[in-house]
Amino acid sequence: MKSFFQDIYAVWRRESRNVIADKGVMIFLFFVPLFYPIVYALIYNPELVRDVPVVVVDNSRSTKSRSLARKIDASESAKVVGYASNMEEARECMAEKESYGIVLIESDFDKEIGRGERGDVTLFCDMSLLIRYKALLTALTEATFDLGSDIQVESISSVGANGPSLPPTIDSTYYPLGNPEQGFATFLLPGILVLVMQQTLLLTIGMMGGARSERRLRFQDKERGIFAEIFGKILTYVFLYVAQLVYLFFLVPMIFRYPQIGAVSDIILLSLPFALSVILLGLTLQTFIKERESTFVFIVFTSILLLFLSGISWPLFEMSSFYKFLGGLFPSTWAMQAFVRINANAADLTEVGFEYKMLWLCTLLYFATTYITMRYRRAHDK
Amino acid sequence: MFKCFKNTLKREIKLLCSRKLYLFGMLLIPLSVLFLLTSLMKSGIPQHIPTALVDMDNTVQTRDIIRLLDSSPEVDIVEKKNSYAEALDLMKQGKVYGIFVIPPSFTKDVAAGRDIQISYYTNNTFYIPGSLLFKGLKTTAKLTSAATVKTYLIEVGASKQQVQNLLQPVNFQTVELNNPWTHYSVYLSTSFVPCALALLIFLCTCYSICSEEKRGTSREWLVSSGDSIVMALTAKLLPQTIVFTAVGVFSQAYMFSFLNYPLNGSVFNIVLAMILFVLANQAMGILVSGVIPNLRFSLSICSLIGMLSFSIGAFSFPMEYMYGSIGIFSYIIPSRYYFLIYVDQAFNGLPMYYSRFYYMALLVFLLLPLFVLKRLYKAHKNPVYVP
Repeated sequence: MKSFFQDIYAVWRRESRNVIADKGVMIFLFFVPLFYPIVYALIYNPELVRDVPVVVVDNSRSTKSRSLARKIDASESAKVVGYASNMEEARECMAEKESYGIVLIESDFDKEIGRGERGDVTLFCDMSLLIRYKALLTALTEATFDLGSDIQVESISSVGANGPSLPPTIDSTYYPLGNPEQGFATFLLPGILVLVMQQTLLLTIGMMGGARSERRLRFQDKERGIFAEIFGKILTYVFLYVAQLVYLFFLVPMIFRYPQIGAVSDIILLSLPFALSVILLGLTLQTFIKERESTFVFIVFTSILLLFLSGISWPLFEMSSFYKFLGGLFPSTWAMQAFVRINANAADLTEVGFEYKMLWLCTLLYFATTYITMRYRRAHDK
Repeated sequence: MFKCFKNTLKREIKLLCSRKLYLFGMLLIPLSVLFLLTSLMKSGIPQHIPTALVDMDNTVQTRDIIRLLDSSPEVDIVEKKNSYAEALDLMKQGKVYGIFVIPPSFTKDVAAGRDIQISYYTNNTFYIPGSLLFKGLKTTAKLTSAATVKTYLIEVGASKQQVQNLLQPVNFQTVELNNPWTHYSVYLSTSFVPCALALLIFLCTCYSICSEEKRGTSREWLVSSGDSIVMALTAKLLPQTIVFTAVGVFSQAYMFSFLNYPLNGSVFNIVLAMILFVLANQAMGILVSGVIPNLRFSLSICSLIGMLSFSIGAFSFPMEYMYGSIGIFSYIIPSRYYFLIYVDQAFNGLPMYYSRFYYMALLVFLLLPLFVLKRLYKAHKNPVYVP
């Protein structure tokens, strides 16, 4: 038993030395987790788009149509950059990217409303970026609703209800949860941080695997027991990643104000099976990596697929069972769901119990595969 | 000269066939990204989003509201709970994405003419289902409100037509140009697939150039091409250009033709953009492998640029809103220009004139290798491999 722990210690010491001596690996172990969140914050932290440019084609040229244009301009998310005399001119404006939408007010807009009928307003919107569309839609909905209420007050009194007192209404209140501002960074970044952790760890471990087979480091562990090798390596990466973990899961959300309303203890408890399963998955993949550089080709691109498979951007209920299974093979899928709901929705560990159990299941699964592949490798290394 | 070209080309094709990495990097990975993203989002827009209902009144009238709620395409009532707290637990468990609450004594208050509050909640941590569900719930809330006002107005003597118009004096409509379904795959796959292709072009270009050095075959490579770095690079990268262009054009054909994503411009323009895009990425790859003629570090740089391109390319969050000057980096990646051309030429079907600068920018990328030709030649003439 004593020698077992000595073996673990020996593997840990040697593997840690190998990692630290390797500059290429250190880029992914320290530089990427440190700087990626900052770059992402610079890109996405503005959260919302404001003052999206729009041109107005006002065929009505009435007080009401001008009032509508003013209301659109005054809204937070749109800005009237100009008036066009006709649709041709407005389309030209869009082609030149001076505006991303056209507001068309029909010529009988004012008359129709005056007659007690409905005035027509149409938004023609560029759909290349949905976030701009969303902003313009919000601005136009609010502006038309606003103008509508003004007109309602005027006309209800004329119908015969006494005074401008409005009828009893059913008001509705909307409460956006988890991401009150409905911002982009608050939605995307908490999940990305989890993904950054998994991908940088996998790259690190993968590169070490490539280095091992290239530089004939493979004989180093042969005299140690197989479990000692596994535990020693787990220890290596856990120790090397603790600082990044604290940074990614606690400091970054604090600095950039991402939602962080969950319990610290829950996050720590969740990090454990997540880190273990990722490390074990990495150790399994090591067997298949013959050259350290091939790691880049095989691992880097998966980030983008894993983001989609995680259910953070594309919802899980719209995925086929095959894709759910495929996503479920990766610890990041479970961890992203769990972390995001803990941090943004204040879920506790029992409410993410399913994901938590699946992370432990991943840990067991990849422990088994690591054992099998390591045995195979030991038998075939010459 | 032609003989040198042939020699190097032959040597390169042998290399490409001998390594599985190229098979994956050039064919299998880009194609799997294409198939996975497009089939994952094949429904286009999530509908029937799981929602919890809290009906604290439970009368005929509230059941009408529920029917209305259930009939909207976005909403799928999967659970009925007695309190908001219970429904919130479901949301925390990830089982529902929204909650619709009808207050107690709703029916009584309507009859008595008192003001009533309906509340609805969506989980916007999940952006797409959150904002879609908001739309569905809001419509129901508005319609419910409108129905009560209508009853009231008719009681005070307005005609039905008048009432309808009074409720919505301004009729607001939207025309979603070229993507009326707000199809998410049309929106995302068309930029993410080429960007993934760009990542792999970077990696394969750098890999094939720098691995000569790592394996100590640099001189052999130069000798086969008659000691000309231009010839060596051209013959080396030509097979990759062909394969990547084929994969790129196939992905366009698959999306625009097989999946019928909007292609409102000329096929020629968008295929031309793909050819230039592949070449521009290869040129970037040459630049990186020339500046850092070390396999490991150049591949690291390529991975970093390649992955950041997905964000900095501003395919989902517009560049002009990004903080600081980080947005300017989007000008140094080819994916950005391909995206802009795609939007103009394929999606919005504008005349080529409006995209002239984007095509030109892709051409400018082709000049990049000129800066490193000398350096590359030296590095491969006298290779020093640092492991």
